[in-house]
Amino acid sequence: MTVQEIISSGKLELYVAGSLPETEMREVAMYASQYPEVAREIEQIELAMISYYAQGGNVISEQEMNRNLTQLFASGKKEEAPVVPMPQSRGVVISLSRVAVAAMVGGLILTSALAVLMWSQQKSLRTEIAEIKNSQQQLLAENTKYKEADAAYKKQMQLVQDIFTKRVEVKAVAYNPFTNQPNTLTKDGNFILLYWQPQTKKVLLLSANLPQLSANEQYQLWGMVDGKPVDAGVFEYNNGQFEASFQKDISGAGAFAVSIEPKGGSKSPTIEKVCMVGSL
Amino acid sequence: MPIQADLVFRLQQKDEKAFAMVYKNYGQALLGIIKKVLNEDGELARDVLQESMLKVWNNIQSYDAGKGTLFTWMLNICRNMAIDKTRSRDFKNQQKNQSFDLVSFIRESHNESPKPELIGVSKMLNVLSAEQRQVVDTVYMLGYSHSEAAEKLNLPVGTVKTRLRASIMELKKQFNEG
Repeated sequence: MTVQEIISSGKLELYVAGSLPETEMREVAMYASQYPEVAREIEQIELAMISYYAQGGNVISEQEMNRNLTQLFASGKKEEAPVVPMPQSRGVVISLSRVAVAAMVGGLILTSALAVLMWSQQKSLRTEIAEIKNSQQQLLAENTKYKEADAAYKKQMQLVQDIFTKRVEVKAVAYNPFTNQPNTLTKDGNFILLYWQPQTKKVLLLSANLPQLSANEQYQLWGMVDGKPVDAGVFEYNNGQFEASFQKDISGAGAFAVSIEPKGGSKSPTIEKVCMVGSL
Repeated sequence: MPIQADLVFRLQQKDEKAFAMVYKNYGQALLGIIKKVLNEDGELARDVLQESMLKVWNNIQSYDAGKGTLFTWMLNICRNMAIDKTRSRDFKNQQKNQSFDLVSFIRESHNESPKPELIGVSKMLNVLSAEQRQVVDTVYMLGYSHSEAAEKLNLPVGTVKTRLRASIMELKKQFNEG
């Protein structure tokens, strides 16, 4: 390779960056010692790179540099200084035993350090395991919740899809069917959608739109069997939040009615508070 | 380089004056590279420089002129220390980026225009285009070869090689003029 070829090979730029493999670094260093032109080229690249990277940003002041150097030389000396001055050996046996003691102490320190290290690692592993267990439990709990919700949903769907299931729209009445007084408790547009399977007697409340009740009141569903109300259970309705629910089993119903009852429900409906009716 | 041979000899004799000279000649440039690697121009970069310089001073005996210039050897020490720092947990927390990646950082930082505080500071900085700076920094900040830089920057090796050479020729020209 001629000097010019070396210079234009692109290797000198990498040489200054220290980016060549060791064998090639050695090769270029050899060329530099052989050919002054190569050495000069390397020097120029180096100077260019030094001034390039020295630009911009905060500059180290002369004062700071001197302070850094003082600090550096001081800590350099500290590192060099022997930790424990060894007294002159008085005899082979003594110095040997000193060596042995030193080795033992060294070993002890090493094992202790190792033990501490392992202990701290174990500690952090334990925390990690505890965290993982915790999140696993959370996931399991969530999973169970989803499974339950899914099972409930499937059961509801099963009922809805059954061809023998009756769809009942329970709506606000204009007049109370028992007292014949105008109904002011619910109004047009209020509804309860329920599904009832006469054979299995299952009653499912699927959706509702009702006025909000006071905290000590609850809606109660009744199955009208041979003209008499049979308790089908209370249900929650809070600010439009309604969760589909299976009510008490009802057989032989001709209609369904809803009344407003004190919280917890009543054994028989409060006649003047019957406000919704749905016939089959 | 006889001057350097003499300097190295003095350094290896633990000549503090010789080391002060080296510090003053190279310190600012080495800090410049550390700053770029760390993407920081504050205490941390200065601490890394100081740590690296202490390592240089304590290990000067192991410097081998047959493997590169003194500057290159010192650059290697500073670079490795700065790169190590970027891998430390504290640094990552500070960057608020768990997957701090130097290469993509170089790529991204060069897509932006130069930082306002750097504009007008030196004509040297404006000599190179963003593409050129990207190649120069990949090689000098990370110590990558042509092919490694090509792979990281997703460029053909030939492009990296010519771009690097052209960049350094340009810097050399500017340096000699200035």
